[in-house]
Amino acid sequence: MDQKAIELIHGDVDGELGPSEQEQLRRLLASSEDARREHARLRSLHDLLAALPACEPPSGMRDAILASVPRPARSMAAPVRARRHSRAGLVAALAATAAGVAFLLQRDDQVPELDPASLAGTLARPAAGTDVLAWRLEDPAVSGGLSLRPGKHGLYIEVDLEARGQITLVARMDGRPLEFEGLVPIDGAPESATRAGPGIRMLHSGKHRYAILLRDAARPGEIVELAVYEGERLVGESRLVVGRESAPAGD
Amino acid sequence: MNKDPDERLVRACKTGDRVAFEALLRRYERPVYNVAMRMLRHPEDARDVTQTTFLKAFEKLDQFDFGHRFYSWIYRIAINESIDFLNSRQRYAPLDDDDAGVDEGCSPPEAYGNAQLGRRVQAAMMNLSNDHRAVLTLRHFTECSYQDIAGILGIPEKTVKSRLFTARQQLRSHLDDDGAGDP
Repeated sequence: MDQKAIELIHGDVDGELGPSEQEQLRRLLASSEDARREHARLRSLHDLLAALPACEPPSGMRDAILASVPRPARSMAAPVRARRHSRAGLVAALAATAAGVAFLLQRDDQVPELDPASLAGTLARPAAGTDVLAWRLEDPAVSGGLSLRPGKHGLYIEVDLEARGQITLVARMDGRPLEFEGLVPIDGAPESATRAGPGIRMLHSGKHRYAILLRDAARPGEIVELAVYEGERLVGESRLVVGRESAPAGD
Repeated sequence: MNKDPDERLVRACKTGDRVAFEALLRRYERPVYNVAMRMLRHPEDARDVTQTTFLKAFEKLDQFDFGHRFYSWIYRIAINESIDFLNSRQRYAPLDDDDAGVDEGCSPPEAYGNAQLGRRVQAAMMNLSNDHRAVLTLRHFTECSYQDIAGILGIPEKTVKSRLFTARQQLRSHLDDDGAGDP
């Protein structure tokens, strides 16, 4: 079939033909078996796609969008992004991490100073010389440390764990499960990592150091509850204080 | 689509009318989310992209040209955001879902056969290039004409037709390979 015939057939299925083109198509279909077959096949594909049900937006999406848009004063102000992060910035941060460097440093002017009083009652302890608070796990099957850092584009869990087998990590804030976005190797990586229910499930084959990116944002001083499972067994739970973004050497 | 109600709402939005913005959101959240779903497949990703699309639309409302239709403009943002999202994802390791329900929310529970078919079609669509999937999405999952699609994607109408032709050929081929029969 020539180009014109193809255009007529597709145009008809798409409802784009004018009267004269419809007449051309009628003549084409009357004279060509190939054209009739192609027309029928295309109509069938069109009907198949038209029969697919529409996707319903998740409940709460509209409210989340409205909550992200500031109430206007006298003029339209720039909206505040509640939770979405810039992918470009994220990629840059992750690239730096993958290269063995600390997370990219992006100061957030809105980050409050840590209030020591807010840390009372947590199990975490500050690491020497920084505001990062770490959780040490001393289980026979799972050992190592976890800490939390806010990035401008989300929250990172830095993981340095030695284990063999399936490890599941669940993170919650105020009882609400946090969503896992991706995993970046720093020094080794689990053999696999998948979202599993409210958590992330990883297959460890020794000692690995990596970072997990959460979709949710958190600020220094906020509390995140972490639970670590080996298979189905709860290894431990802890309430960690989100640390500050790391500072560049000499800063 | 009638542009007049949209134009009124956009003009009201520009004066800071939050109710007008909510009306636009109500009108377009579903089609925009559907575009994002067809481009991205995953509900979580589609939700994020939909949210960003509306935030960007709100941010740039002052730049909106009333010579264009609002739906074209917001679909363009949604398509661009979806492609940016896909490109950024290629640069780090996204997590796969353990569960297969990647298109949950796209079909009523009773329509099991439809849901199965929907998954296969969506999986086949993900084998297309972003450009081809965008054309197919706009043509089959919105009510956009060739001219609309050309305007949204910033390409000549002739290119829309050729991409649509290629996209359909490839989709049909993938569906055949998948054993979905000859649609």
